Amino acid sequence: MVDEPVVLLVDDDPHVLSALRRGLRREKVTIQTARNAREALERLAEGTIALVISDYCMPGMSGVELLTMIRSDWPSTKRMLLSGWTDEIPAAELNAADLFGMLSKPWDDMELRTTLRRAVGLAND
Amino acid sequence: MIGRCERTHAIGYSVWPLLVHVLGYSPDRWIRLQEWLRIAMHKNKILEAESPLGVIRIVVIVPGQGAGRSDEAELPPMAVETTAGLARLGDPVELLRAQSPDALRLLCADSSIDLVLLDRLDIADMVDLLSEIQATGPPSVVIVSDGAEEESLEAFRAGASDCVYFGPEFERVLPLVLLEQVRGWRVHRQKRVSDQRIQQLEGLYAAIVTEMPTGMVVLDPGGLIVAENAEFSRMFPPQNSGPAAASEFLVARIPIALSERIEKESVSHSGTDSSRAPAEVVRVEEVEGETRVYEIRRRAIEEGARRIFLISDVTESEWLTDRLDVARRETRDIIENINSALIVVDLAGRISFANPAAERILAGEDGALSDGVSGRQIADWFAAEDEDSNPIEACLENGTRSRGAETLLLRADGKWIPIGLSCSPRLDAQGVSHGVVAVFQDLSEIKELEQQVRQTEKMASIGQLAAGVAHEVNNPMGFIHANLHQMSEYLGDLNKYFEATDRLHQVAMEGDLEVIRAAADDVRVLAREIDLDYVRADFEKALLESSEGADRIRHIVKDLRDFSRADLPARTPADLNQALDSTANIVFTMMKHRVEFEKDYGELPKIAAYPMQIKQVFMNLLVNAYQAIESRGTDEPGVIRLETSSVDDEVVIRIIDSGLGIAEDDLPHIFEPFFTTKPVGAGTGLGLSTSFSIVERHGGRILVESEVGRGATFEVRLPLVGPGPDEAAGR
Repeated sequence: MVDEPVVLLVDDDPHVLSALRRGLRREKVTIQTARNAREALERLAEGTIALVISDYCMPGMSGVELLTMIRSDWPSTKRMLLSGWTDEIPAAELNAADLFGMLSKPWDDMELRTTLRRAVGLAND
Repeated sequence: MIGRCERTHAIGYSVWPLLVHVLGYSPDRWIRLQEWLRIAMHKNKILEAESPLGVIRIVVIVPGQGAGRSDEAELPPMAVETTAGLARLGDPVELLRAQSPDALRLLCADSSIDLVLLDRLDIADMVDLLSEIQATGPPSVVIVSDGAEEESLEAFRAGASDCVYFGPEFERVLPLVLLEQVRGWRVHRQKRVSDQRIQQLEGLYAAIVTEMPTGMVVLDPGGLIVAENAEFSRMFPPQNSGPAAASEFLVARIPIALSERIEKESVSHSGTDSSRAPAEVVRVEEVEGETRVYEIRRRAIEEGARRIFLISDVTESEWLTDRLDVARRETRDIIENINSALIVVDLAGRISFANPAAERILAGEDGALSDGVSGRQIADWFAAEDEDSNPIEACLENGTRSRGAETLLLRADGKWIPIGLSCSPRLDAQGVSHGVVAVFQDLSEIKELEQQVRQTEKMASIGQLAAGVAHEVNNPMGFIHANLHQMSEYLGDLNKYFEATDRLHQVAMEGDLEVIRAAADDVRVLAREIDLDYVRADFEKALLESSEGADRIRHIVKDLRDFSRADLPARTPADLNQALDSTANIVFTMMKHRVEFEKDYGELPKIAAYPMQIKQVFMNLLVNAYQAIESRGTDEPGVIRLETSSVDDEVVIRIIDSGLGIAEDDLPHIFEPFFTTKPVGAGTGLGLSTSFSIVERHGGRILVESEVGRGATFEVRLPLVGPGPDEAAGR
């Protein structure tokens, strides 16, 4: 279990976090969650995170801002955005975050798992 | 002497000089003959048949009263016989005494003096005084001593009208001579006055004929011009100047078309018809293609021997009349064809004119009014809003003009419609009102469009929340969708487990312990494999979470639907705290990540309002507040403070944001339609203008206070008692 890659899920809606965790329960990754950008940065500071999947719309700091910050501070951590309204986000912001992938809400569990496995370097079954 | 002959009918002295000189007739004999004749005529009552003369004014001069004497008191008395003779005149006599030749001259200039009587003066004085009596003055009668032939001859030579001998018949002869002279003088005087009158009239007529702006020409029966006035000469100048001009034929002077007409008319009008013919209008094409118009009047005079023509050139006045006609027609065409309704109202409040557009509106959909519009009272149509009189009545009463006043009109078909009305008094040149002119338009369609705009704006304000709506719907949709997927996986696992337990149950019935143990092992392994405890716990959790997510979506949809709904047609008692709070909740739901709400609601009485419209106002102000906070560009959440209170007879709602604030230059324009500071697509520019008109319709107002960088405060004040029931106009 110690060797499993750590995936950090960031969303201000606990039900979203719980549904994501539910969908990923059989993946060979360790799931951590954060309710906002501040909590997420705390988790990152605590230990190596392979992938961050963040919501866009959050109080305080937006998901893109968080991921852009992670890109500069933890460049090896992969970044994914999970948002309901991706059209509205300026392209320049998205480029700055240099995302591994983008998923829109409502998401498809299979797609989520496939993208996640590619991100953390696990073979798809 | 000839002059004297003209002025009297007495044959005596008119023939006398001839008789004296040609026939050698003695004046003595002549005078005596005359005296005898007069007495004889008097006896035959010939003279008495004459009418009374009234007061006879006689100037009497007696001897010793020469030049230089001026003292009236010392005037010598008249001879008793002379006085007796004057007393026999029968008519009252006024005696005047001339004190000097100058005085005599002055008296003789007075036309009321009838006669001068010189009583036995010495010859030199007599001749002097007679010369003072002007040739045109009153007659003079000289009394000489009986038989003084030389003196009488001198008197006649000096211009005396007659002489009387101071002889035996003196008292009888004197009044007869005097009466004859006075009568003759009076007849002459009267003739002179009437001669003057005739002269004056002739001058007057000549001046009129010369100066009148109408050409006048007199023709003889052959058509030759006998006389013409200056205007005629000006209108139709003579062909050949000089004395021959007067004898031209009329046909040679005037245009052919005109003369043809005159000749033709002459045939049809009998020459002896002296009654005044009506004016005829003749059009004459001139060489330059210009048409001149003449008006001709004719009259036969001197029993048809001559004809007078009066000719006026009325081309200009005809042209003016035409222009006036054209202008009138144009005005009428405009008034009848404009889409605006126009009515004229008299001082009694009756419609005296209505154009077709006005009749259409007043009649309504049932078509024409059976008894027309004119003469009907405006009160039949125009509403008196509340207790105030309608704009037309106000204008009738005190001349108040209205521009675009919104009021109501009751059509003949019984339907109230909103109209925009302008009216002003009809003032004459003295500024006195003769009624009112009113122009109005049916605003039904505009009101309907306004309502559509309002609804559209409302939807647009929701549109600005679209990102928030999407987010708030997508989150629950996201996890519900994922959970459903997961739960179907759970169900698959559980079905496998239930199959294993079913088999265990089956083998347990058969009683083979080994088989039972193996089946129980399978069940235990499967339970571990599918993580049964977790699945059992999480299945329920996933269900609860999903159902909560579904609730969230249901709320959002309900809020939006409630907000988008149109108002009821009538005002309803509205709880403004509730209206503000539910609207704020929508905004909060959509925008909760950036905004904190502070609420300080006071107790508010319900007010009669259109709650959906009021909510639209709140939504506009809240979205603006939210966007103002967004545009600050900082991460810390902004604050929107909501305060409500009831002050005096008003309800006050304050929406205070900590946003960017409004630039001072923009502040005066924020309520103008299409004014926006938002990027293209982010706002309609109608939010605040719509809000303003909604609040105005409720009889309230919106106040704003802002400082750049510190935020803005919008204050909505609504009266507890709304404006009257303006249902039709307010919708």
